[in-house]
Amino acid sequence: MNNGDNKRQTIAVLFGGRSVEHEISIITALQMIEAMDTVKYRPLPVYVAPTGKWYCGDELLKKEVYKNMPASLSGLKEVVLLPTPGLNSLTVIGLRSKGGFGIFGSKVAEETIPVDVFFPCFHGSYGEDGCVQGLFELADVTYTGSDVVSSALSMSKYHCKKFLESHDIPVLPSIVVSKAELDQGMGSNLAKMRERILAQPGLGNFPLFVKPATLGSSIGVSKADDAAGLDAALLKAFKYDVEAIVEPCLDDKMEINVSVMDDVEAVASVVEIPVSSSGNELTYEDKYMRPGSKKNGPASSGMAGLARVINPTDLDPKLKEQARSYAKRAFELIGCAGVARIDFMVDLKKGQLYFNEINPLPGSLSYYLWVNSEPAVLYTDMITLMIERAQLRKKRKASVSVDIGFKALFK
Amino acid sequence: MFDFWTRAVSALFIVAAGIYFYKKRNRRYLQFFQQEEYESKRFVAWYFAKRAYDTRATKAALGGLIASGIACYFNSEIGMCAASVVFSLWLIAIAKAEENPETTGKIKLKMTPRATRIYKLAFGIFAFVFLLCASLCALLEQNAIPALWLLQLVLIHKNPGFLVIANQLLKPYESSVQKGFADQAKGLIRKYDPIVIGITGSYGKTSSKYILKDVLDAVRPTFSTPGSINSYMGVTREIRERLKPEHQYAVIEMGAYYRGSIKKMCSLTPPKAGIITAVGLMHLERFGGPEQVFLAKSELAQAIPQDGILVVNGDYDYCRRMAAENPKQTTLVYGLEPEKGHLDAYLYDIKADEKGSTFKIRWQDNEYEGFAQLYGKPMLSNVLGSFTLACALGISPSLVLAAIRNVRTASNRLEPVRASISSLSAEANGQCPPGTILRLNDAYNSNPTGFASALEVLGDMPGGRKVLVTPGMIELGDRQEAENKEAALKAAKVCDLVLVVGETNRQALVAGLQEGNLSAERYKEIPSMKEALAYLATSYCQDGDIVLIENDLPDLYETVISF
Repeated sequence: MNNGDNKRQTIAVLFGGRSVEHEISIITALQMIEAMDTVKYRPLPVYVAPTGKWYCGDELLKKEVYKNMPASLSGLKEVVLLPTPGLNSLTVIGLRSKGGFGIFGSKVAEETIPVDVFFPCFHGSYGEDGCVQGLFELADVTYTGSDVVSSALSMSKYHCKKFLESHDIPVLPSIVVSKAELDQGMGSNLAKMRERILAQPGLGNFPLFVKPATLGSSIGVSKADDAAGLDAALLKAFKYDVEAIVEPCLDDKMEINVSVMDDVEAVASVVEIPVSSSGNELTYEDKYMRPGSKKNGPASSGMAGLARVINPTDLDPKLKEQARSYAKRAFELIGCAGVARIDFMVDLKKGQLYFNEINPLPGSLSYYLWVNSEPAVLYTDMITLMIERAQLRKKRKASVSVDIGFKALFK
Repeated sequence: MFDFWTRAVSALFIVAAGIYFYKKRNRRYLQFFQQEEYESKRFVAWYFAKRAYDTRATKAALGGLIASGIACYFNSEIGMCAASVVFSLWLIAIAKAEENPETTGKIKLKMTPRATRIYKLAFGIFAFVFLLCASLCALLEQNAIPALWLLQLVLIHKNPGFLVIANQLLKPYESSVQKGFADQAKGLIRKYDPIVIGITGSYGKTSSKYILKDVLDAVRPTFSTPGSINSYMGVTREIRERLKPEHQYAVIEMGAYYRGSIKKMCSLTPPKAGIITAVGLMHLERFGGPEQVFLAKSELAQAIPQDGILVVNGDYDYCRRMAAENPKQTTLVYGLEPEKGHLDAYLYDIKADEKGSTFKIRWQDNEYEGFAQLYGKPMLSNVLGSFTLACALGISPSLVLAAIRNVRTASNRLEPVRASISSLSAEANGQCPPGTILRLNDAYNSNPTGFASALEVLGDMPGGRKVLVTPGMIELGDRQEAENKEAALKAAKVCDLVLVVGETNRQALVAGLQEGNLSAERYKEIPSMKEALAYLATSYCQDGDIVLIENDLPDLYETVISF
């Protein structure tokens, strides 16, 4: 596997996963691998299929593999990351026993693939929300990006807002409701739930936004214009998550996004305004289905293909600065690492900025913002920086002593 | 010695070409055999009705026969050999050019274990027969080569026959395999014990299933079969692969293929509740009359236990009769036509716009307002049936209506899709004008009621020019011609352009359009759906046009296939 080039470090790029944003994650990972500095690093694509099984192999760099699943996966190596510290490798499973016939005690061949750094490129459930980070912690491996707590806090829209609100970052009012409440009484509580939402300060007037509480993309998000619409919007959100968050929908608003990366201290990118095709909220199609601006272009280029205005000149510079400073503070307060994208909502009537959400593993890793920043950061350098910062964090963490004693047992 | 070698080479070429051609061709026949659900009788009937005889390879085999015959007559060994090689190569070229059925056609060939078994056994029989007969030909010495070509010619035409023979031979084995699978599925149903809701009816089964699953899913995890899977084996497979312990409801679409098929299905998934969506004109050919259809559908009503729930569509007299003959603890009648009699659930005040339909429902003395991203009375009738059953299960009506607002059946049943004009054409060429059309897909198993209401929706829709693309309706017995003519007559009043697809109902449709005084430049006859859509994309559509695709027949019924 190593082909003798011991100098290059192996970077396991993990993508796919049991998430509605599975497909976008594939795009992010393939783009990222393309941009990686291959003089320093050897990328090892690790694909987590919708079933949750992990596969690796260079075949995964070709898009055709994803078209002909699951048949195409049978030719790949199935691997796992064992939670045992110190292995620093992926273990190939499902190998047939090699050599030795029955009675001589056939030995199951064990193959491991050494990995220097794990680079998750997941979006959404199980990959961006602290789950896979938990596995990295157990296995005590080096990994890029945010850790367990910061990932989990970022992905829970409600908790994240409440936390930042307590640190004086402005957020819109919101309420979180649970599907469990509906399951009782065969849905007769729906009206009660609706009344409770409407009674919440700041949520008394339509239209309202309803979103699944922990999903990052626009999937399951809808706008409710009246009571019947709110009922339907809640049920739609509950299709994708057991909790939903309801927020007001400003009538004259604009979304602006900033990316933040951790270096010696957090740095913020330029500001962008994502543009929707319909003049309304961004849909999944807006984000991912529009091929990189060109008509009938090849394939989707993920978040990087979205129509957007980067560093808009007509936007109030004070607002831009405010967004960048809130973004850096949010990043640091939550304890993020690697790269994140922070989305704000601007109430154009009041000129007020609100924190909306933070994506600890943004689509296309937000590289499109950094290449336009001042000073510009190339995608290749960005990836290198993320890997180096991860290695630094690992070293720092290794110096924390873990005293495990057995004094209490044998007193 | 020279004679021996030339004949051996000739024979080798003929046999090799024959086997190669057989292997390629038979996969194509298998595609249609699979679409006929391995029913030998239906497949044979299709073969003769569609004249799916070989025309391509016959030329090569006939050429080989004549050329080698002439050479034989003139005692030219070398001539026979040359003729055999040349025509065998031609046959191989023909075989090579055969379409791959796993990637072409609307319904692609799936090499399931059963298809593989049939294919392999058929090949075994073919190879045995071919080689045996070929050895017998060798006894003819001088005339052996022409005889081999004659054999080739005969076998090319017997090609699909081997599939039928293999299928018949495998039947006992298949049914034992199927019984094993069905027993496993029955075991799972018993173990997890979901509340089974059966849905049957001449129309609207699949849509009702989608809607009801979406509604029930909002309160409890619900199992249902994907697509229009509604056969005993189809449902068996889905249960084995996808039924989970957490499923509390199972919505099962039950297709009536013959008398007794629903009864059999009910032994697999014993229903505690059921919806009868319609008893109408579908599949009259299979049953032999509406009374027989009624009896076949009644099997679901009979299978529901006394304390169960029976929901029927009161707009059909046969459904009302079924409810009267099979009273349950909860028997509910729904409908859009109160003049037919008492209705427990009544849907009225339908208004359609570009987003969908708003309507009102009267249920248990209350009036509810609803909205769905769906169109047409038949579809809203399905909505009402699902509403009624869900409410009867104890789910609150407002939650049911909220779930209905979100329903997208994704099943090609009068579903509105905003699409770019270029998306109509399968081939990406840059000649399509920019802009979008509203595409109404009603492309599945069209019937007279559905056709009429789709035209009604098309007529009511505000917007640009109205286009109908249709191959007409099938499986309507001796009424097929009259019904298609009738539908075309209605279409003539509504449409700015009608594209008549294929041959099956061409005459009836055109006759109806002419009777409706649609001028000749406003309708067009086009051999296939693909070409019809390509025509719209490149030569007709403008921004804002509305295109209704009414029915899309499987390749089985389109004329473009050739062998």
